[in-house]
Amino acid sequence: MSQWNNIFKKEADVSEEELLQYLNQELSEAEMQAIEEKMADSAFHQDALEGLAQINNKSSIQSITNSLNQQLSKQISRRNKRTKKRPIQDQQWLIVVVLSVLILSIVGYLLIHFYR
Amino acid sequence: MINTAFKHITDSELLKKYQSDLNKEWLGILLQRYTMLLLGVCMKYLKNEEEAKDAVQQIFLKALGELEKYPVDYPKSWLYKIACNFCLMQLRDRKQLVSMDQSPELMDIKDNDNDALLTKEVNLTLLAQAIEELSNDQKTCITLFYLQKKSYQQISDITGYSLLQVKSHIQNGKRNLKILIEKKQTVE
Repeated sequence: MSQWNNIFKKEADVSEEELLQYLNQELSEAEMQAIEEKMADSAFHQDALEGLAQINNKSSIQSITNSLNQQLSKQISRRNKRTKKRPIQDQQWLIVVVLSVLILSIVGYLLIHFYR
Repeated sequence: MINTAFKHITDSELLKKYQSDLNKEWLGILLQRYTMLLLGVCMKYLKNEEEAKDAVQQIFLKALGELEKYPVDYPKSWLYKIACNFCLMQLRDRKQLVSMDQSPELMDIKDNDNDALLTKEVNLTLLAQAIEELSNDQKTCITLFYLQKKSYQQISDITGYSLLQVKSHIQNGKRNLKILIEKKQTVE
């Protein structure tokens, strides 16, 4: 009866490798059951498995995943660069504004001084 | 691979790391954990490989934008919800009819951490009584799956139910068991 305790156990993580092995039916019945039990409470995993099963060429799942991950990495490094650059650009504007105000003040002072 | 190197760090820890140093690489590591699952979910609803790939990219962009602005408590459930809603919107744009029971928006998406039954030992006597009260279909499938450790396919072969029916009997059976046990606990 103690096996019943598993029934309300929190969903456990299923690795990508396990998912692929499950989809490709490379596991024993006991291993399949163990993965099914881990995913039993996760709508996310159940939906994903159903969708991945619809991909005709199962061997392409890993390569599609890898290419999506690469695109994400590029996107992230672009976003990181943008965030890092912004403060420098902002500072440059600040310097330009401060210098302009200073120059205008000096010019103004000189004009007033010489034409008085 | 990046994912393996940071395997020991939980999703919430990755989010905290991002909040402390604003390095988006942490968000990347988090999202990459779910790429394959997101692809599967998009494929389930959109039924087209190219559209599913595009959808995952769009979901990543949306998730990045949101995670940069707001903290999220349960990133995994949250990402699933974003993916379902995104696919639903795509289907609506395509003006495809989605039946109510398949509508992702209507699905109950919650994190199991809050489930009271998970946090304490289940009273086995109550559980045994509750199992007896289930319908025959649910009782058979739940017993074969959790007690005799049979896979969905094996249960389908033994009972003659389709795989979908097996899954549904197990899911509904579990839900009914929870309700029955909770009722019995309040009576006691």
